[in-house]
Amino acid sequence: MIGSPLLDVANLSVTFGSGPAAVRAAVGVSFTLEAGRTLCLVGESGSGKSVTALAVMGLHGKGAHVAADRLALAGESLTGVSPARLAAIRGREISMIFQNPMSSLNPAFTIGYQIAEAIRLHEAVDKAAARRRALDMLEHVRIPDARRHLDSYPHALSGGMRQRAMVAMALACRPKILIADEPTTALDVTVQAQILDLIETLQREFATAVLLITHDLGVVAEMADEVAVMYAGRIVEKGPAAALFDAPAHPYTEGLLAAVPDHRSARKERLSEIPGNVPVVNREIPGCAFAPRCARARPVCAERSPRLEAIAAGRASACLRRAEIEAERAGHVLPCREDRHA
Amino acid sequence: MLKYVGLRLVAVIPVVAFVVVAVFLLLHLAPGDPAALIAGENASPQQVALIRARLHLDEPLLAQFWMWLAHLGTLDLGNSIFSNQPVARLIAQRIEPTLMLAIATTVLTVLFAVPAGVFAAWKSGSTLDRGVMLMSVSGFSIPVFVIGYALIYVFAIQLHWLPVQGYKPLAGGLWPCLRSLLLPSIALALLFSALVARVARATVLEILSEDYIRTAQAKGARTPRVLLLHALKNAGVPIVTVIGLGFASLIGGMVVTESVFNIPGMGRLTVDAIMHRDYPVVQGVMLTFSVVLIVVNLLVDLSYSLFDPRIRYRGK
Amino acid sequence: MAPAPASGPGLATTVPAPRRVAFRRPGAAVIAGVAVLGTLVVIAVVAPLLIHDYVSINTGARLLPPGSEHWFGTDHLGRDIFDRTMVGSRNSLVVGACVALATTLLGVLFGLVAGYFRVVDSVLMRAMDGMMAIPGVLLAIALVSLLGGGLWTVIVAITVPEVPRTARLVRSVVLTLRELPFVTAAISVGTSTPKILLTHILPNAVGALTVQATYVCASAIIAEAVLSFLGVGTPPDIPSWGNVMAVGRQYFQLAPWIIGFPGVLLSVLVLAINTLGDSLRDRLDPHLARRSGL
Repeated sequence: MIGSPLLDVANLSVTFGSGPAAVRAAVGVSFTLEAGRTLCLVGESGSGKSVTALAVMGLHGKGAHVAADRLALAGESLTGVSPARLAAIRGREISMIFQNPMSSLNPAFTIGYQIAEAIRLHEAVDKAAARRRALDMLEHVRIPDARRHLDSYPHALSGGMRQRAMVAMALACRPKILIADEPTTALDVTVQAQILDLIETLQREFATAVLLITHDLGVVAEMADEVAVMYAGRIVEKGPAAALFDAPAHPYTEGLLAAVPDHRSARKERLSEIPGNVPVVNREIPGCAFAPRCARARPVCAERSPRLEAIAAGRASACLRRAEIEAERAGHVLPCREDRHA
Repeated sequence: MLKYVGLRLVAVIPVVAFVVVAVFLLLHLAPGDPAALIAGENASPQQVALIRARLHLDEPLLAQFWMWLAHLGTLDLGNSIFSNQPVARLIAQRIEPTLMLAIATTVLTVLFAVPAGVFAAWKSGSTLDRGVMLMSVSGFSIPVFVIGYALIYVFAIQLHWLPVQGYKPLAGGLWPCLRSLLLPSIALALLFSALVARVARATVLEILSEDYIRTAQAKGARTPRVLLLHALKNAGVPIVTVIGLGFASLIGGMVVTESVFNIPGMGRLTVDAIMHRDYPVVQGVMLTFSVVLIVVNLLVDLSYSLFDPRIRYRGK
Repeated sequence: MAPAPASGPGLATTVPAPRRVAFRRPGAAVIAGVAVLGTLVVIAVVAPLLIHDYVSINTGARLLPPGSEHWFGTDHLGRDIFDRTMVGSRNSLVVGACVALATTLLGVLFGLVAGYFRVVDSVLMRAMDGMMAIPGVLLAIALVSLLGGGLWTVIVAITVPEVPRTARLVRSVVLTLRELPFVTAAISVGTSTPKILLTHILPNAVGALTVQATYVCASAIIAEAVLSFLGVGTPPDIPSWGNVMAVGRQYFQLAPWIIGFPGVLLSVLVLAINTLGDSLRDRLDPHLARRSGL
């Protein structure tokens, strides 16, 4: 891509409800995704990452209000686009797979029909051709005995197989972007790695960009080119995956990394090691939203809101105490949660 | 699938048995002498004796039952006391208008109530939704004969668009027949739709929050396709079920509607038979209606596999 | 991960959630329903005391259209439709209330027995299935013609086809509750079966039963009108809405008001009862299945 990035999101916000009870699920979210690359949105439940992805697809429900300075696919704005154009983009330009493969496939239609439907919604091919392509896709996602499973109903397949079928359906029209919302969370540990491998392989083969939403830093380590860490609806840190892992520039990222014993291999840990929960943001709160849970918080953190500021090539962080963290790291003092109690 | 069909068929047997026994006993449950009851208050003892002999009422109850059952086996429902014709023939003569009315009503109901329910669910909370729900509760609340007369008053008497009453047999052409059934089937469909639209709305409302609906949207399906294909096929089982359950009310409604619109169907046959205390006819008609109801609900059970593939494998 | 906009502790402090649904303010539909039902109950009580002459024949005033003299017009015998309708409201309400009460009592009895005693259950429930396989109106007209005319006969005939549905409702509540810990605990400390049924299980069905009774009342009022309309209902000497309308059948083209006024009044009454039933259901038990109408 020369010029505009493939996916360009600037200052996106998603609000549920209105008035004083309105919940700001995403606030001022900005990121870009380049062709063929993988961007991971990381955060705990309720951090706003899924809401952000659904807003990009225009799949936020009736109750959500979406606003953005820019929400563009290959230069074409997705805000205010007609329902017809949006439907034409979904599935063809941007596809999405979801967390729960058990409930994401329609129980009343065969796997083959559902994949063929995705093709026929966007391309003028006859039923037989669409069915052949569906079979081809099932083989691509390495579903054993694909010819038979073409006529299987979802209930006859295991969770892993269903997620493979979802991937086949999502990639059937060779979209430019695949949004994967916690694609392995609901699966067995042994199956998780297979699905991630599959996504990576097909991503290379089809030159698809992937927006991967996960709470799992193990997944991030394996998949991500770029990472954006979200907390309470905002991006608090973003940057290239390697740099971010080596030297996190936000206490929240530090906390996430500390919660994984060995982030290169372990994947089973939930991010529950940081005490407390993600707050529901329903009004403008002064100060940093993470401050109440932050090991490095100082009184100033409860007063001033940090802004996402560039810190190095392609990196940004939203922390008032960033300078101190960097200084500390220069002295090779590793961050440790026990600091607080000392 | 075959196992499923077998299971459903077996489950029907006790219900049919109950209906057969209940319809037989109906006459004997009443206090007093059934022969005197049939003959009426002004009958002479000779007339009562004649009726008793003709209906074998002087024999033991069990013997009467076996005789009745044996006749049922050959589709012999006995003879009418009033006209002395075989009950089976009387029913056969009257079945066409009733069948046509049932079909027309069901078609109208499905065409109207299902889309109304789906759109009410899609636009839940809107004026359209409230309108559908108001129509539904009204359908539960207005007796079908009041709807019938209101339709006659407006479309036949005031506007002269349609005939006031009567039925044109199918033999005289499909269009005149349907035209004569238009008002009665609309009256019945309003009653039937109340039930079907309500269930369709509730079911679709629930389905629209399912993950696979979001999947359908994510792959680029537009709203009509999402509603009418992805949602509706999953709503099939509850909707068809309620059509089957509502068929009992529909039969009741048809008995009344045939009287209002002067349609010579089985409903009129029933009412006339009851007026004349013609018990063999009453028994025959009740048995026929009940068997139809059981068969309709059996078909409903079997149709589940069309909508929900899981039933084919599991057998409920 | 689905957003949880309306839940979580964050909201509880800012928006006080309604503590109990029962405190919700009644909507306009409920107020209208209560008003209609209340008015008609008053009419049903008062009208027969005030209006005495609703039977005398006045051949000079046959089939008069509605006017200042006869608000609802007159029938083929010159009787005032308004008077007869007002007096007839008592019959409809009595039938509705009696059927609802009788159905609930019988339904509770059969439902408790079927739900708690496995042996009886299969037999009783097959019988209920069988009864539901006979169209209710047909069963009712057959019963009336067998048992002979009379107000009580009509009530019995309408009650019988309604019982299975209430029995099933009670049975399903029993089946759900009997497995719950508090019932198991009561059994283990030796509480007698009737006591368990009446003190532990039945109170949990009261909400659903009330809603069901409301619907039964509504459909009984319609059923009475239908039976009378077909000529097998309330005896002709008792004025009832069904009887008034039955007279109007032959004269419908000449005098549509004979059916029109009682018909509208009856529909409004039943609509009011159904609306109250619906709002009661929404408050007590959102999952209670709607029964079919007549």
